[in-house]
Amino acid sequence: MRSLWLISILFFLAAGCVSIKPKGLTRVVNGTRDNFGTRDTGHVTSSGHGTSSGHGTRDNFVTRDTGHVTNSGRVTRDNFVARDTGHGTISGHGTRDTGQFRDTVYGIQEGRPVTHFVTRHASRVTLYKATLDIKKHHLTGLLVIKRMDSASTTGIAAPEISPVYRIVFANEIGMTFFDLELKHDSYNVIYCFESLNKKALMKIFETDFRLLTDTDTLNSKKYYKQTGTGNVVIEGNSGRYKTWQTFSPSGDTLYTKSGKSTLADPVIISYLKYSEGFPVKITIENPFIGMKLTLRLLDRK
Amino acid sequence: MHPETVSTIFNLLQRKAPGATGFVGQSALFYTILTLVISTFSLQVISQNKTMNAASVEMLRSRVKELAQNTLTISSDFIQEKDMAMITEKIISRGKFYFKKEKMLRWEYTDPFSYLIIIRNDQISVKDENRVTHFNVRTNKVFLEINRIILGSLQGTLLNDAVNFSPGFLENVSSFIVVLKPLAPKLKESISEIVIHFDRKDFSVNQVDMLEPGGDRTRINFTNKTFNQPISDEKFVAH
Repeated sequence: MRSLWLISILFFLAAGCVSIKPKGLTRVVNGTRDNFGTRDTGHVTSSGHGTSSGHGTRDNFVTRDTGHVTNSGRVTRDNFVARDTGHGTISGHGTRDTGQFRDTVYGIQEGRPVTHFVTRHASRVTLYKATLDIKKHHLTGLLVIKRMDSASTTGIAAPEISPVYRIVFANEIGMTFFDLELKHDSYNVIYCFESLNKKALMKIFETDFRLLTDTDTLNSKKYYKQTGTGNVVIEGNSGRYKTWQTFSPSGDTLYTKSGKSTLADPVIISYLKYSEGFPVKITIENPFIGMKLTLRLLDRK
Repeated sequence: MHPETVSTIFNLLQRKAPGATGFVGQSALFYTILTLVISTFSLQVISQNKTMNAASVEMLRSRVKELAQNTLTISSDFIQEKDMAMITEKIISRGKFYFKKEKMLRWEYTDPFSYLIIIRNDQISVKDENRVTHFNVRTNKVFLEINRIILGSLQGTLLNDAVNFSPGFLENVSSFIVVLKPLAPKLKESISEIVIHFDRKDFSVNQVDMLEPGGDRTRINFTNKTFNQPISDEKFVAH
C-alpha cells in the first residue's frame, strides 16, 4: 500500500515536471479594434477593389479608413483570406500583424507554406524514414501514413469528411512493428509487435498521431505572442486534447505543435524542415516516457 | 490515468536487456539477422506447386549442402517489396548483398534510404545513415542464437533444423520451394512463414517471402548473382 502511494506521488511529481506549453507568452486579444489596424493606429494602408463582404465589423478592420471597401456581416476566416489575396494590397505595422497572422493560419492558400502535416490536399500515402527511441531502446525503419477515406482519392477532401488514417511502422527488412488505424471517433491497434504492445504505449501513439494528422479544428482558441522570438502561439482544444501551436512571426510556418489529454501523454511535435510547403523532417517527443520518434520524408504519392 | 496504465509504462521503461538497442531492438534485429542468414543460406543453393517426394527432398538437401561447401563468396543485387494487408501500395527498397566465407555478410539498402548491416565473425554492426552501432554476438542469448543459426545455415543444415522450423517442400517447373514454419514462440511472434524459392538449374535462391502474423508479406528478389568472385574484407567493415 505504501509503495502504491509512493508510485502515485512519484508519478504526479514526474508528470508535473513535464511542461509542453511554450514559454514567454503574452496574450493577444483577438478581433478587437486594437489588434487589427484601426484608424487609431495610422499605420495601415489598404486599397481595396470592388465590394468585399463578410469581413467583420467596421471596428475591427482597416478598411474603415480607406473607404474603398464596404464591410458587412461577420468575420469568417475564408473571407478574411480572400480579402488579402484578392483585393489589392494591404500593408500594415504593429498591431496589424495580428490580423495577417489570422489570415495565414486559417487560410489554406496555394503557393504559400502549408503549415500542417495534413491538409485538405493530403497525399494519399506518405513514406518516412523513421527512428524510434525509448530510453535505451532504439528502433529504425519506415513509417507509412495513408489517408484511407475515399475522399482523399480525389486529392482534395471535402471539409466535412472526417479523415481515416492508417499508420504502419516497419523495420527496413520489412517486419511490422505496429499498424494503427485512426478515425475521428475511434482508434484501433490492427497489429503490434508483442514486445511493443503495451496499452499505455499505444495510447501515447494515439495522441502522437492524432496531433500529427490533426487539421484546424481547434476550439476555445486563445492567441499569444512569444516574447523574444515574436512567434505566434495559438492555444486551443482539439477533441480531448489541449494543444499549443507555435507559428513563425508572420504566421505562415508551423514550428511546433504540442498537446496532451492526460498528465502522462504530453507530446511535442517539431516541424524542423519544409520542402514545397510540406514537412520533410519532423520529431515527435513524449517527454514523460522519454520517447522520441524522428521522421524524414522519403516519398509522397 | 488508470494506475495500471501508469504501472505498465513504468514496467515498459524498466525492462532491461544487454546491448545498446534494448529489448525491443534486439528482438527486431534478431528477426533482421535471421532473414539475412536465411537469404544467405538460400543464395548458396536455390505456377503450380506440387509436393516434393522424399527422394527429391533428399536430393535438394544434398545439393544445398554441397553448394554451401563450395561457395566462398556471393554478391547480388536485391529488390525488396513489402505488401501490407490493408494498404495497396507496396514499399519497395533496393540494395546490395555480399557474403564471404566463413562468417562475413554485408546487407546494404541503397534506395530509397541508406541502411547497412554487417556481420563479421562475432561482431554485428548496423549503420543507419550516419550512426554506427556495434554488438557482440556473445553478449546475450539472442545473438548466441543468431550465431547458431548462421553456422547451421552455412553448413547447410538449416533445412534439417527440425527443432526451430517445420519444413514443407514443394516444386514447380522452375523452382524448388521450401516453406519454413517457425516453431519457437519468440520467432512465431514475428514470422508465420518463410518461403524460399530455389532455382531448379543451379539451386541458387531467386526469391524469399516472409509472411507475418498480421498478414503483411515481404518479398526479396535476388538478381545479378555472382559466386566465388573476390570480395575484399574491407567490404565487411562499417565506417
